[in-house]
Amino acid sequence: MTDHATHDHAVGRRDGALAALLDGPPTLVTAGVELFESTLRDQGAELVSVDWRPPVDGLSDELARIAADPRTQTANATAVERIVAAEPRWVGITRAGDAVGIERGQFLHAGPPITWERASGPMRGALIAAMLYEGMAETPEQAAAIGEAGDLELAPCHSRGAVGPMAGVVSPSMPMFAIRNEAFGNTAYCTLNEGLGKVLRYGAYGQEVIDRLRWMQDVLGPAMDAAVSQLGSMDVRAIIVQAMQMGDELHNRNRAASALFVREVVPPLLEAGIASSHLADVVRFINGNEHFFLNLGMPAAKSALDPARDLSGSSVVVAMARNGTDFGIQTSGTGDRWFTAPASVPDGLFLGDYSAEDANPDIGDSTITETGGMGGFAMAAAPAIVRFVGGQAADALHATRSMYAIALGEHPHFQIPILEFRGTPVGIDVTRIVRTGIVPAVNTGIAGKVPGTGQVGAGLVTPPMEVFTAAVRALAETAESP
Amino acid sequence: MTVPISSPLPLTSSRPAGPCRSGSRPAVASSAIAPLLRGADRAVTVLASFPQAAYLSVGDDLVALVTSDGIHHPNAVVLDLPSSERPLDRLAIAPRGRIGRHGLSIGDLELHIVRWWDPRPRLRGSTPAALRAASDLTRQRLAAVAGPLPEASHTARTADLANALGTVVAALRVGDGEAAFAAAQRIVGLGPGLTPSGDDRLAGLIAGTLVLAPSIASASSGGADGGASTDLPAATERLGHAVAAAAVGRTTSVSAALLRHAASGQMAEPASALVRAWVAADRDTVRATDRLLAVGSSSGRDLTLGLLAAVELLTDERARPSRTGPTSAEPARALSPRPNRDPRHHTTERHS
Amino acid sequence: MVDHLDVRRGAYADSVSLMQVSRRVGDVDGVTNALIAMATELNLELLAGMGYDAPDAGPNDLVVAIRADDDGVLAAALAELDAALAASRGGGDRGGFGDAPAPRTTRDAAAFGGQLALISVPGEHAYVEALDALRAGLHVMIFSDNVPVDLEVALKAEAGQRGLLVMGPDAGTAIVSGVGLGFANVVSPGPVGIVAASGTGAQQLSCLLDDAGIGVSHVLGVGGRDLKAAVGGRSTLQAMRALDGDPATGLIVLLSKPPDDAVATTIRAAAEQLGTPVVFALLGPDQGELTEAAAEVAEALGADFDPPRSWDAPSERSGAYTELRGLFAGGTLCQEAVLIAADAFGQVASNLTVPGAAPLTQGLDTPGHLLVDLGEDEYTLGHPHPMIDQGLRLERIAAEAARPGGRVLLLDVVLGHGAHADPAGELAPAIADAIATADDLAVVVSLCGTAGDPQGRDAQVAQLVRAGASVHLSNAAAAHKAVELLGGDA
Repeated sequence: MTDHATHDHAVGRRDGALAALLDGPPTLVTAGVELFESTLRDQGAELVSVDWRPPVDGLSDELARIAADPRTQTANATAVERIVAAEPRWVGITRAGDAVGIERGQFLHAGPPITWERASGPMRGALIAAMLYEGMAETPEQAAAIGEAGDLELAPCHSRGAVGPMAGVVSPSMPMFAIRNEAFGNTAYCTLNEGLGKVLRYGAYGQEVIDRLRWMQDVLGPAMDAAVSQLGSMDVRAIIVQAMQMGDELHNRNRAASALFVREVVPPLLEAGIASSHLADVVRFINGNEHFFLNLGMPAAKSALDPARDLSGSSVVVAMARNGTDFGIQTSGTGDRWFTAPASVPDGLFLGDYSAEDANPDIGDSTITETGGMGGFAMAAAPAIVRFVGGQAADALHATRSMYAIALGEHPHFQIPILEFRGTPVGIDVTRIVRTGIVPAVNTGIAGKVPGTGQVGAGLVTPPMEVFTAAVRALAETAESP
Repeated sequence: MTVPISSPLPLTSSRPAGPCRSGSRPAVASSAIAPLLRGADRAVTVLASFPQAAYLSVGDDLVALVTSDGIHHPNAVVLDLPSSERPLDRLAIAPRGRIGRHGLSIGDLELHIVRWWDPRPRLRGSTPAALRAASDLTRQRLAAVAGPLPEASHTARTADLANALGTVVAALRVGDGEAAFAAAQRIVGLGPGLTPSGDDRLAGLIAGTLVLAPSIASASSGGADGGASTDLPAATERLGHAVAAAAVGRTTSVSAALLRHAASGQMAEPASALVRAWVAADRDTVRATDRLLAVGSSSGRDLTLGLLAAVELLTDERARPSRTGPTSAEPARALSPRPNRDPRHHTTERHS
Repeated sequence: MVDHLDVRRGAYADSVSLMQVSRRVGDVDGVTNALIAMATELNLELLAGMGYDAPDAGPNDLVVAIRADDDGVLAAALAELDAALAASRGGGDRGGFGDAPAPRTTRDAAAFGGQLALISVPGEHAYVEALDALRAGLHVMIFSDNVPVDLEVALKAEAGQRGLLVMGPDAGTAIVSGVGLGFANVVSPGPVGIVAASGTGAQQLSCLLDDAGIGVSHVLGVGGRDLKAAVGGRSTLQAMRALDGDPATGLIVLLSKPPDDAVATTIRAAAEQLGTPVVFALLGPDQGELTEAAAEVAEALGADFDPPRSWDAPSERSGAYTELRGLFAGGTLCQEAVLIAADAFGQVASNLTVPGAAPLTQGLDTPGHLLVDLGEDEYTLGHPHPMIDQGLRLERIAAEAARPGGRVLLLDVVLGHGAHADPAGELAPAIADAIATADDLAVVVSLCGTAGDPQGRDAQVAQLVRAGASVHLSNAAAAHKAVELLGGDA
């Protein structure tokens, strides 16, 4: 007979967890019947109890199938690894036609696919403005007629490697930020932020809007291009990291990030030899817009998430976006498919005399920030935001903390000081949303439903659960058996 | 894969436990005192009461009634209430109670035992080298955090303790039971506190030797030192019983009781956890060391020193190529082939 | 008479807690009936049966239906409902700066560093939670049943790769280092490690060993299906390995129905390789009883084993008993009794598929010798398990007493953690009443419990004996007693 105790010792090493189980009263996790939790507490057992509830919509079969899919765990791990490994850098300004491959008469827009018929006020207004800007029409009425006639070719920004805030309409002549993810070599694009008030992205199409767009094309774009050429490239991730520790969450609050950007871009701007008459205007323009950085942060997130697409079996969300009518998501394992449901009107605080009646349903690709571990997921870094969206500072903390339950990982770079520099929740998993009943926390600007009204408020959005249940069903259909 | 989510403290809420039968509270108890708890009803008196523990005498025996955050002594009944709720406050004014029939009632506490634990740890196999390596971590930790000994004003006593313990170890090593006993007697009752330093060190040495010996005895498959290795636990056990018996009157009753338990290899839970950590080698020895060091004002450190002396005794003993025969009058008692598994050595008493 | 029906969305509580809540509300003076439950299909049917219109509610909504004498009573009932619901829910989210939200999945709870997850969510959800646990490096005990066998195999395969143990699915009992999980008794520490494919079987064996002064190191439940060919005994093998490596375990007992042949061979071969001796306690015809297994264990350890105690009934009746009627809460206890009765009488009716058992022809009213496991699904849908609630058994005792002729009633009473707080308190009056009103009724009780169980075994025994029953700590002895009363072979 083998030396029993040597055998014993060797077996002990190999079966570490098995041995540890029997060595003393175990520490426990309980999920389910409360009776068993209480008998364990009576016995003085150390335990953590799961606040369990059944998954939404009775999706137990589907969840089991996805969990049993041998590809899922690895695919999800890969997705998260890629997302957090991203190194987004601003590398240039590119004309939209070249950046996203659109031609005259073709437009990109925020959110999942939409038609003129279904589009809301701000979206239609933005398309009208774009048509005027491109010279496809002379008057708004003519432009609208083109839309009515169904002669517009529209595609989501997301489908062309781009993102756009609010209406997010992109036309060929517009200059776009090019953000390259140095870790993977992919690039994402976003137009430059026009500022607040009467702007294209809120559906305004007055002459001032068109004039400004032309100025951005002729003056601002080239100036930015010259500046970034001076620099070579600008580390966007570094600005995000710092801004998050200065009270920004990079979706609804970009003040610190925009200030940091100004600090980075002004010296090369000065060195770039731009005509002095333009210089002041350019600096004043970017300096006066506290959301200027949003249009860099969004494509940074997009560039981080795109490499995580198309991993078979993965249940990670790679895009969340709204077009003013629908709220849509895409997951890594379901390719180009959009899962959509009606977008709701955000709930929050309204500016001036505005009220919920003036508000448009949720709109914009800016939820790419939440998808990438910023925005609502980083709200704990920006408690001041409750002044705009309502609630108390503790709610901001709670928002982030709840998100860990639906995320697969924690961002190694985006750290939140008040949570002891814990990384933001990243890698949203649709199965965990359906299991816990917790939907992603989103805080956003609220657009006026009448085109051209501009921002009427800011608040919190509850993404519709249906998009996540639909995604789970789709993933279950293609799940492989063990 | 999940990127690990960092964890703060666990979420155990202090939910008041439900009563089991007619208002009694659930409690957890050491199987070493099972005969007292399961036997016929007997009277119980409070000897002393502190925020985290009350000491109850039952005839010649002693039971420690401790709060949930107190130390699980080898003779303890553990309440489901923490000291912050001050459950032992009223014991001072209600010094008498009853014990037996699976329960204990004293003051306004009526307890029923819902779980037993065995205060004698059954350890897996280890080797002398592995044990030394693991216990060295404890030694280092002790040196790093222990700070100056409290008996700094009793420098003579400090030397006494260390010397005497060393003498006990040396005597046991050569099988000189009388010398071991004499050295032990020098330090029983020595030092301040409810459990004097000398007692705690001896308890650590004796219990430690008894529980660790089988762990490494099986590692060397009964070679040349076969005879020597079987002598040591027996000699230690004899010493333990002798010391415990002689301790009555020389030291506090609480400490004497703990020495009795030590003679059967029964130890307080933090001590148990430390020897397990040593044997497991992949567990957190440093954390277990800290937990034991935190016991009492100096008890923890003294127990640790005793356990370390046990390791020395057991592992150095191996290094000696030969030894003279036993000088003790009693013959060596052979251990059964799987010493930890012989149920007859178990602490469970038969229910009559 | 006033009917109240409301739906509360997003308010989830487990079925056992809700049954207790329903009970409390139903007990309010003037309340005719009350149903407080999650709006599953089954419960909606029950609701319809009570005469309520179908509410717009789904399985994630709590439905409250109360029928009361008048509005005043209804108000009292609703107040009691709120109190009961508050009591049943422990912590939940707490506001404030410092508190993290309560974990909603096993993965998140496991992040706090546990070793073992006890999963008792409804069966269709158990796989996902158990997988969370395994992936976090925790062992799992799955109390839930109705887990598909392919998922059971997947879990056990994953556990095997990670060196973890899956107890269950359908594991009702475990004891790990003295801590009772699920339904378990308070047992002294000792050298015997039990691997059990059955809950009440493990309970009976551990109780007998405790009483014999032998004690138990651990009880590991492997679930009712582990020893079938499909699963291949994976958890049994893992549990045996764990116990073999455990220094506190000197003897392993494997307790189950006879396994499928191929599995049996694998298990026996594995047992040969272990350093610890293994006793096989396989329940089947000609394969022995639990009490015999306990005796065998004692013998292997060189310990004495006295026959487990019995208490005679105050007076036996005429002996003109013609039928054996067994109403069991414990599946294995019922099974053991069926084997003993079938051996004596040739065949008995039972809802269990056991050699010697014929199917029920008229449900619980099937005449002749009848031994039923009331813990099986067909009796527990919509009712709490008889371990927790005596309702159905009390009904049946009365029903049996009302039938003409003489019969022997055989009941099991299981004590321990999780079981009813005072089963004798509920059964004794019913037994006394039945004996008094029936033509000729003898009652035999098999009491599975230890002296340390929270219910207080002595008091339970005394109550039952006073009520007129004979009580036996050995289930086999109880079954033999019943057979003896019927004039069958002892």
